[in-house]
Amino acid sequence: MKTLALEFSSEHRGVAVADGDRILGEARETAGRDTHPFALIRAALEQARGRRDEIHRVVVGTGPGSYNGIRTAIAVAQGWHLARGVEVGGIGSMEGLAEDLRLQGRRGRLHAVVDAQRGEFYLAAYELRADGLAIAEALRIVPRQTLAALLAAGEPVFGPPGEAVPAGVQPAYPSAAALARLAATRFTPCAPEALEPIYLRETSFVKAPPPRIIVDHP
Amino acid sequence: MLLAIETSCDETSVAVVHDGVVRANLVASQVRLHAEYGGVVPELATREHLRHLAPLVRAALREAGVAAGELDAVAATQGPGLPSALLVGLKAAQGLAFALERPFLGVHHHEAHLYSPWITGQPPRADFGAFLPNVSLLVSGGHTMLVRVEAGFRHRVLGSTVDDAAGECFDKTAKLLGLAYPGGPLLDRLAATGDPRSFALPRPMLNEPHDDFSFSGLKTSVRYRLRDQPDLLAHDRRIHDLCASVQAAIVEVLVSKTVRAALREGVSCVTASGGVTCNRQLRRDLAAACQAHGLSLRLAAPALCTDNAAMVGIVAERQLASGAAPTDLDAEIRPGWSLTDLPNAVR
Repeated sequence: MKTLALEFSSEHRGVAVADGDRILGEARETAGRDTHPFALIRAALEQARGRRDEIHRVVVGTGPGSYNGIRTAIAVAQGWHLARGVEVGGIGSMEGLAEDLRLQGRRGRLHAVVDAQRGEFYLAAYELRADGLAIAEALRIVPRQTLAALLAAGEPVFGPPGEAVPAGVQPAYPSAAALARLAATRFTPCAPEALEPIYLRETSFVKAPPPRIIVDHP
Repeated sequence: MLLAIETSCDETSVAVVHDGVVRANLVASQVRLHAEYGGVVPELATREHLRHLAPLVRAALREAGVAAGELDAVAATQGPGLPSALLVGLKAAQGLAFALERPFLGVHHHEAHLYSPWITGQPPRADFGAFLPNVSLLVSGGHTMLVRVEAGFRHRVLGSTVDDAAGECFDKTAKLLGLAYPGGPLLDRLAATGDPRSFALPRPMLNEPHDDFSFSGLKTSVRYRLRDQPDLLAHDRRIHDLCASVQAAIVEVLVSKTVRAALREGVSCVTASGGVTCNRQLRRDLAAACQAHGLSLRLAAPALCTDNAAMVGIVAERQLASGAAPTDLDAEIRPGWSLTDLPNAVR
């Protein structure tokens, strides 16, 4: 069963093709802001010597991160499902980031961070072991001071660099290959319409006052 | 067999067309959701598209009696529209086309509207055999423009609004009166029992020698009227009269400028499309004016006036049949795409 992993939540966008936990092909792009999902998928499939109809599962990095990137991945996965009936599912991109570090040989506890804008950050902690990854602290939104305190205490913090991200955060990105590896053991398929980016912040759109004149819509 | 997706604003729509016949055309409207906010909230619209698109595609395929594997092509609105809303439909359509290894076509939303008056009957069917060079009024909540359509996919923009679209003027005026969103259709209903001569309102740019429109002044005029006569809102009769007067002003400008452009351009046909084309007075007055000047008139069917994927599918199928090259699968959304940027646009 071949898995296609789409990870577009950061500026390091990537696609991987895997058979179980074996990565058969991977393609990345970092230039520019536009994501080219199909050029990446073609390149990853070519490397994997695979065909489109051999994909049985599409896993998507659900963020947090760039909404446009995450929604691009979700929409592509929805389209693929509608075309071929493949399984689809999502895995948090920060887990993908931590798993990528684990695959590089890092062990022990670390924090993963992504800029949440408005002076806040998405933060989670993971325990990296030789046999896998465990969530130590669930994903949440924290103020800048919380992140600053972690850095001041010498805690290892990793995440995509950015203007608002403090200097002590070590550069790291979620990767599609790591996502595919995670999917080999913790993939839960869902309906394509249930796939959505991780929304941690409450929406706060201003509601209109009630109408003064009530007329039924035709 | 072609599947088309439209998500340029707050309607998720999916259609299946085959040989010019609309086999399915489904729309999931978000009007009730956005009504709470008094207008379309792009972030909410995008979230809804993500939720509605897949079930709608499944339902459209079921209604059309086809399996995804039987599709010959896939199309989607590429622009103009709300960026994040466009993204959902475009990328899903591209994903479908890529996985099926079928051609994909990105369609211009306004171009789809321009040809919607040529889709008629039940089931809706493209009637391009009857096509006549025409002047087309495209009028909605986001756009108001006059376009000369010379032949299939050859058109020239004659004029457009320099500020608010006509539909925006309807909705914003309705909001000033305290009507729920979207207020345009409600204003139409209240206007039916009002006197359109009760309030002397401006007819912006009516007599200026060009085809552009301006509606923001009309809206401001209503605002000043309500500021100076706040008790006006306490009388149902006066509200109905004001609705009728506003509608008469908008419709007179739209009809007069459309007919004048058609006569000047020497075409024998006028068409109208877009959400405001549902307005009953506009349909009546445009019909009367065209008849008085010996022009034939084609109005988009009410179901095809608002955003829908049927018109996207019909245009895409015709373009592919006439040899148009498929759109690159990694083509991006074009939120500000102008009709004048299309390859066959006449400048």
